[in-house]
Amino acid sequence: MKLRLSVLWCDRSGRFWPLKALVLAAVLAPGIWLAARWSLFGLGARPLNTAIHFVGLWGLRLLLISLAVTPARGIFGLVKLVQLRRMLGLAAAAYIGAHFVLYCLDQQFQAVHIAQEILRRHYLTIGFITLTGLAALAATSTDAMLRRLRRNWKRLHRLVYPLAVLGLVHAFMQAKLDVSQPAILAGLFSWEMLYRALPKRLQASPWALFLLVPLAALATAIEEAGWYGLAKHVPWQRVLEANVMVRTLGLRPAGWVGVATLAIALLATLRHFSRRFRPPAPSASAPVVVGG
Amino acid sequence: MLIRIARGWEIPESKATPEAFVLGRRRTLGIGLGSALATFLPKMGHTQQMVSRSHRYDPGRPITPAQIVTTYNNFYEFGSDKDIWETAQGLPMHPWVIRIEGLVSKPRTIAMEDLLKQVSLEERVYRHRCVEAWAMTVPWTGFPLASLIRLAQPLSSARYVAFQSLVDAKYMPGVAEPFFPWPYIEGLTIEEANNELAFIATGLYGKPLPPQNGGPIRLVVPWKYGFKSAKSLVKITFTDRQPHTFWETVSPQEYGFWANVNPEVSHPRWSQATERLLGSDERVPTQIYNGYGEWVASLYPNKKDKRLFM
Repeated sequence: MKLRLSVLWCDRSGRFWPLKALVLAAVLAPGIWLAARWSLFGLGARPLNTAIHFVGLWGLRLLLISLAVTPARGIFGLVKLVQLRRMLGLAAAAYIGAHFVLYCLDQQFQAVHIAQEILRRHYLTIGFITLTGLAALAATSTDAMLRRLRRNWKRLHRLVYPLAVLGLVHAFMQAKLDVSQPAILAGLFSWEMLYRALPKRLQASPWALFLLVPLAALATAIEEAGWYGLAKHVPWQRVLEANVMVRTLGLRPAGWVGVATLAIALLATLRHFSRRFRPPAPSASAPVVVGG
Repeated sequence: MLIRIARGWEIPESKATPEAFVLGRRRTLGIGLGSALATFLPKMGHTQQMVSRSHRYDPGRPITPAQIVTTYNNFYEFGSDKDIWETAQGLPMHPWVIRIEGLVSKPRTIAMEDLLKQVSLEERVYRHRCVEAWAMTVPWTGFPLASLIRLAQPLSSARYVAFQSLVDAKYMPGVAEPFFPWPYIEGLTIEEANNELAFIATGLYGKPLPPQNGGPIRLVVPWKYGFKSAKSLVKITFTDRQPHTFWETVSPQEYGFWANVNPEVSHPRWSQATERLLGSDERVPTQIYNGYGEWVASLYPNKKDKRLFM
């Protein structure tokens, strides 16, 4: 087996694909930015702690972005996007791996102490399970493994959904009090799952996407308020109420998820109408892949 | 028979450093520190007069750079991140009044300047241990809480002291979160409050206490986790009931009322055995009562009770 670096920016047919090169640059960017800032200016009073949080948050974001490939493909009819998913998934696993290495560094690589901590602290146990699962998925992400595992590959890789849930739970649990960031991520994840629950024929329909906006926002609000009510002794009713106090409080996580998913619905609408009014492509052109 | 165990600071006269050395040292230190600080601390109105440092509380480790202490702050009223110091600069600290009420002979409101006239200021360098397993070493200027209690004249029925921080949505964006139990409340038993270590700080590194560190006036309880030391105080209430503190209300299993530092009692989410020293970034062992056991251990005869350390 020969590894060629060019797979990082070429499509399956071996041609340079600018979008893939762009995605490669994008997944490297947070790491490069952190390394540059750390070496040039330092990371403040608790550099390791800052780095651990930053890298972990990006790992989770990338994991959710990798789960956005399927909706993006369906909404925009771009089947080829699926070729980006492996890179996004591997990047997520790499950031979460780095998150763990930095944690070990913070604990001075004392293996026994680290193992004890992982067993004792529930949020670390959950985080470690997520890490192990993602490592397994990364290890079986090659073409060779895909062929070897056949139908089981797909079954195995469906683990990414429960792993994403565990990753989000870990993010909620590590927060001292304010869970705005994890709540936004959980809301976007909910949208991704709601999209998958749509009947296939509706997955490219702008109207269905508009229906998902309030549902995703509601899911976010329930997740946030549920966390405060169950895990913290904060009155969940008041957390829910805060969502509508936009003028005084600005957008709460549910509001941000609403705005983001509304933007997706609007983009889909734009595409829907621009396609409808576009003259039919001449039949001599390359075969058109019709998505959705 | 009276058995007296000498405390760490009780040293014979013969061991004391001659006064001239101490004064000379202070002068050089003061000038060095002052000029170093001038770059970090924005102008903060009047400068506090130089006060003498109490050496009986020698922290046994170097003072943390002011730049770190004044830019890495847990102060949820300004926001839930640590970098709230810029936001906090908007808080007006003059005039400032403190209300003293509850079980006292005469409830009253006292202006900061009037309060400062009735106490004698000193500087103390205390170890500061955050519940999040990091620590700093901070030179506070202020006066013992016991002298404030004397001024307040509590009734004999007072068993607790509650400290309340400012809530002003105009300057504090964090208090807009309507579901947190603002105002921030902290509390001590009257015995804890009268302990000689319990301190009211009005200055930091020889300057007025900046807002991000709890200016203009805050509590400092060095043997407890940092969240006990309430900032920007506006009300002190003497009461016969244990106060419902902010953190105990939102997360009782993680941040309790007592919160005495103890390396052997873990936080539910992490070990408290060690702490990271900001500045040098070393990880060092945590000491019981943050190393102030000789002053405070007698306050807690039942050391087995884990709730005292959570």
